[in-house]
Amino acid sequence: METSSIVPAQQDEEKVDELLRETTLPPEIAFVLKEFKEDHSGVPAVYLSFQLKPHIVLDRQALTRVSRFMTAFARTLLDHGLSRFPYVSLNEAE
Amino acid sequence: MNLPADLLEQAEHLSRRELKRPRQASLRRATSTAYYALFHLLTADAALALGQQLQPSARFQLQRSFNHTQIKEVCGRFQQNTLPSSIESLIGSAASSSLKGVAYSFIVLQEARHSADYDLNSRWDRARAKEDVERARDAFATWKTIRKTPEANVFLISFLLYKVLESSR
Repeated sequence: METSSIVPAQQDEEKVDELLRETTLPPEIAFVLKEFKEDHSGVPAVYLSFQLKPHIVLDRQALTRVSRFMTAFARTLLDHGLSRFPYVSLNEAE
Repeated sequence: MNLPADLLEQAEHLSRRELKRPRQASLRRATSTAYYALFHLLTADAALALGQQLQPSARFQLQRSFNHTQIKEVCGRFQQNTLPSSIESLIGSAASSSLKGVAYSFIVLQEARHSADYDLNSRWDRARAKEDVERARDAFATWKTIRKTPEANVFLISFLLYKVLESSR
């Protein structure tokens, strides 16, 4: 997978933070964790972990909605010129 | 036999097992199986696109030639609008949002599968496994709506012929 020229992580982090500020998270999500590292094939990436609020159990409909939200968020980051590939996951807050 | 659908159903089952204390093995295999469900869905259609007149056994043999890394590369190109003009001209424009969605989910699930199978430092939880399965399920549904389109056809044959198509004019 080819990536565009990679900029310092700080610049990509600013793009992520800016979009997070502009975006209303689904009500089930408490916050988003970010991690900048390479993916398993060595491509620079950012991992966005959407943390569920405690004791939330999503039914199918809600799961679909949250999953699509996460995808849309990542694809918006790519449209905004993020140089690292954004991987999303949903996780239970520890 | 409908291997992709059966794998997806199995992934769903694994993501819901052991209601109170799910085993790491079940959750990790749910994610891994969700990826393989989508992988087999797409490569079965790719083999059909490239070898429609072949006997099933020959098509299965063709299906084995698809490479995970190469498909990820193709998905990245379609997803990020970085297709060479020689391929873009085949589909007439940039890839549709639906195809980009499938491509994005393939990349995300492949990375998730790698972590689920090999990264034992991370804790896999049920929310993660269920979302990975849902992602695959959504990709299945989207793929069903576009699999007969010209862009999907170019996407599929690119799995094997990307380098050839890239260098053609």
